[in-house]
Amino acid sequence: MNEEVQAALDAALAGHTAINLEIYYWWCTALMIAIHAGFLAYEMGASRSKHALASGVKNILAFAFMIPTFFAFGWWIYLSGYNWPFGSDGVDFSSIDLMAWDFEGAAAGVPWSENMGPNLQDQASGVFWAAFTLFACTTASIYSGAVIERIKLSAFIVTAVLLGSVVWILGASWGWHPTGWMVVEWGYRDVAAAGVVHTIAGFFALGILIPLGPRIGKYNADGSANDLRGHNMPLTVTGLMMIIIGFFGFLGACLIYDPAGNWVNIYGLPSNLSAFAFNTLMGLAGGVIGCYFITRDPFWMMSGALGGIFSVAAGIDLFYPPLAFLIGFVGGLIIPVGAKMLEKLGVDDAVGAVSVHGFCGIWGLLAVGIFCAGYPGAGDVPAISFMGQLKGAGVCVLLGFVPALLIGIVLRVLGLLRVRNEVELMGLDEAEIPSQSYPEFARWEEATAGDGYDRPRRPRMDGPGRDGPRNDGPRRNAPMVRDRADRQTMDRTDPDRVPPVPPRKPS
Amino acid sequence: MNASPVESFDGAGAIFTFAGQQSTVEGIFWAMCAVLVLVVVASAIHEIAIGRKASRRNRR
Repeated sequence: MNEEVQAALDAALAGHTAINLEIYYWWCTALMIAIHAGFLAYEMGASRSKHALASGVKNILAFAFMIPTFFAFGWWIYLSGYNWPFGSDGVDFSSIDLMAWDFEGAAAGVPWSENMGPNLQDQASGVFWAAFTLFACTTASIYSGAVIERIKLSAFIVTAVLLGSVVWILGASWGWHPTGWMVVEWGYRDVAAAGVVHTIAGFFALGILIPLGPRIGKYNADGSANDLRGHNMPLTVTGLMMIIIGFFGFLGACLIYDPAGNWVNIYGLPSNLSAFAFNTLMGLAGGVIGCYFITRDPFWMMSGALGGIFSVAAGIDLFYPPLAFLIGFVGGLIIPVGAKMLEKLGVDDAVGAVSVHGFCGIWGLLAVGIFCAGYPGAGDVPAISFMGQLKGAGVCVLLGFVPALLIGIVLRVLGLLRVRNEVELMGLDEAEIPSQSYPEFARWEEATAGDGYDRPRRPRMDGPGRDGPRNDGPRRNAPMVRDRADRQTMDRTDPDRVPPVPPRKPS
Repeated sequence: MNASPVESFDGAGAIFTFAGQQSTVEGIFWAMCAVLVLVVVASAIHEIAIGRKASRRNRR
């Protein structure tokens, strides 16, 4: 074979490799949008009917705000923050340098760089940025479900941007980057982002939930909790199934198709999709069965499917598949127990996000330390160790929780965190959303409610109803169906004050 | 603790076998089977108990 033919073959191979890379991440990104379709259905179904559309709007806006903000600064933080705030000397709390960003290395991530836009010489930046942007959207959606039915939309957008375009991506730069300081110093291993996405997002949600307070009617005067069920369980569990579909895109995008045509994980270590396939499905099954064993509730079983995947995510390319099943099973046991524990502590997490993502994420990180200790790293990176995983989990917990708690307290002090009690009782849809979730039900509920509540009237927006024109005009979205728990609490509630978290019920 | 069978990536194949301890791998496999059986048996017992309770209620 002469040199010209060889050169032509090499060029063709390089071209195909680049195109394969683009195509792979393009479709992983597309598949990840199913996560958001799933979260949309899940959160609307998990809301009571009077809040369903407001929950949907919140979710849609989280998706939309994350994309431009991740373009503006999220991607740059990932590329530049891997040594921040310690610098290149390693973890030393006595020499913290707040300017220890890699300005030079991250030049390609500056929003006005040549790489951040159409560029015929760059077939990687766009698709990698897109995949990471969808990871960011996922973190925001994880947090979104926990705070439904009472957070102000503006407060949610600000906090979601803080999580999705700053906090989690800084954690990713530290622990999900081949030269991140957690990786280089501790041998931290988190291949499919159990810690940097799920633990951080779960504990961010917890940090907001504490200043946000529980929904009206969640707790009785004696501290016992009510179960404020969502209005559409089939929609909720279908949404959860869609999230699982989307996670196949998410997990696939955690592998890198390197220029030599090999699969490597985010740390540059050899890996492959077959390993991911074994353990994703086995972890999923373990999570479902674990939750079924404890609760027999389809909501928790589907949450268990997600929790099982997150429990194996950190070592998804390392575990023996039946071990992944057992790790997922334990994750499935942790979820309802953790959710119940938080409820007893007065934390009203509407969808169990802290438990599913936060607690399972920690368990997954520790499982890698227990079962894969000694597995080598790339180059001089230390091997996996239990202490390295434990310290990494601690960093993820603090990185999620502390900024959220601080911004939550500030927003609460300014009165910007939570809607007024009248709005919450009336329903966020009625107050904020110019369309209706179930207009036909509204008429029926209006006619049959009979609870004496003086509902506000709105101008007629739609045509005459099925029963013909009415003199007073149909009340748009007027149901205001309050749960029994709402009714019990309403008279005791000062409308200008967020209800305090009641003391724990004595055991 | 060193549970990893892989000390270098040269020629690495199966990476889950816990330092080549085939018996550990088989033990994990049977543990998974035991969990599956446990859950099915617990489910059957639960359903029998529920069925009896429903029958008693119906008789009353």
